[in-house]
Amino acid sequence: MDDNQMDLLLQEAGEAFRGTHTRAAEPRAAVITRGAGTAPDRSRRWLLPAGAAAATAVVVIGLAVAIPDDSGTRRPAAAVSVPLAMNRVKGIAVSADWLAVAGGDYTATPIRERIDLRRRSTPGEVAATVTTTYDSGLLLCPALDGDTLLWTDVAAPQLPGPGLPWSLWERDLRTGETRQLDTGAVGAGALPCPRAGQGWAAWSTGGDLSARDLSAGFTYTRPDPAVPVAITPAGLLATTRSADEVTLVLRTGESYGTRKVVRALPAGSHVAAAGERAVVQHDDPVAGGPPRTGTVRSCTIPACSDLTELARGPVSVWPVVGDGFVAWRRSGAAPEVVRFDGGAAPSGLPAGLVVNEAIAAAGDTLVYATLDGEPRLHVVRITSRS
Amino acid sequence: MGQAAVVPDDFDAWVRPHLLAMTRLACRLAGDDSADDVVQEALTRAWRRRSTYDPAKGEPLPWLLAITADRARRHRQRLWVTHPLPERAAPAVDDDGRLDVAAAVARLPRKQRLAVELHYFVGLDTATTAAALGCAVGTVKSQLSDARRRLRVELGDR
Repeated sequence: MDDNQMDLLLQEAGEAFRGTHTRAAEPRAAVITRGAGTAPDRSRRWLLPAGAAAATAVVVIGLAVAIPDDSGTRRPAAAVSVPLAMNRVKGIAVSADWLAVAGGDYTATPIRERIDLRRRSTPGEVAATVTTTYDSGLLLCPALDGDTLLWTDVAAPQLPGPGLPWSLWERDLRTGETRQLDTGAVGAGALPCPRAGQGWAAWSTGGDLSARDLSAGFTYTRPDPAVPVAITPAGLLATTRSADEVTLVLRTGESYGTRKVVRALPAGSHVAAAGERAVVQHDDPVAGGPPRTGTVRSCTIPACSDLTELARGPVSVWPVVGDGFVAWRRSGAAPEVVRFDGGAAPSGLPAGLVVNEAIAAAGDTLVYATLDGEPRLHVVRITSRS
Repeated sequence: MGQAAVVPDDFDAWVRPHLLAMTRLACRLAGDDSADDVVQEALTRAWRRRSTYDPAKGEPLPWLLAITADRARRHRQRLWVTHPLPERAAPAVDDDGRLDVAAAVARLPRKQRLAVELHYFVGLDTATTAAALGCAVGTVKSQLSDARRRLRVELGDR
């Protein structure tokens, strides 16, 4: 094959592609051009890290969000919305990816090569920052339990890819003591993302599952292909995946040494859990297009034999579970919240363009980001009891 | 020329002629399922950065496609973390022995791939491709030539 033949082959492939791709995306103008006619306001732009604490304190906006209590009466809840800080890499503005996780007294916001920590009582201030150990790295998958932060650091000069080194870290937020817990090179699977809860952390690497006692500082590693979902009072919930199904696994006992298969779920299911509840989201596959139908169901841990439908339709961001509630997002809409006690869902939460897995829940608090207009971090207390 | 005249207030009308090209590029770089989300992200980014667009430097299409390519890259980056990687690279020849041009193009170095996607699959001429990539026309021609050479090595002798 000579250069002309290659050129012809590519032209034919391009024409075939354009012939089957004749539909243009429809812009959601209300989302994109909110505030149309106003020039960008520099005072509301993202802020450099060095000035973030002082500047964000000026522009914190308190939002009163109506949250129903058990009697159905709506009342204001503690909710704030703050601009997200930005960073710059080689002079290029970088958006806030990989938001966010909440736990204990903190929310953690990964922004490429660093993670910002904010106290939940003062979300407008960056209380601490951790940074990558690589020349060019990404900090991902933060997990919080009490005063312990865990995260994954991966060398990523361009995109994370096979062969690049990663390391998994733990920091005591009271003392600042930081330890490297695990290292490896990116292989065929996803990066190890730590989960934390009940005084333990867990992560999966290459067919091994590690569980770490955070107070004792000891890690137990056992052969198990399951990937941790959450550490609940009933045990360490994890899943294994195959082409045919997702298998829900519960590890219990001393150092989570006992393994039990809970149940099988449809292939492609995503599982989240907290407390006594697991939530299973499954979008029905559609050949050649995005899913249009799906379900969000919940069940009680450990048996998970009482799967109950909470909602229908695909969701654009996987559900997150807090104490007594589950929340998910659809593109461009405010989070949808369902209380497990059957109480009325809160309304009036700030809406915005969905980007990333930009939603997290911990305890009674929901944290999420919207990036239309300007990026904002919303911290909403979902109180299930007054 | 004031800012209001740089990008018309009717942003929707301004971008609409370019949506098909943006969508096609998003399909190529992020996949059909993610294309709409990537285009929305690109439009939001374009809206926020509209004051930086300078019509004296060229047409809006290359500017919008450069933003789309950036958003698609970030989208793929996110998916990579939340979904397992394929266990091996896709073969250049499918099970029936046919040449898989798409798989081979996807393995090109980033700049060569972008040049190929914009020129052959989105259907831009080399001048517009160069504007979107922020380089000279000669550089684009060189990248396309290098890309074809690589593809020939991978596909040509099969």
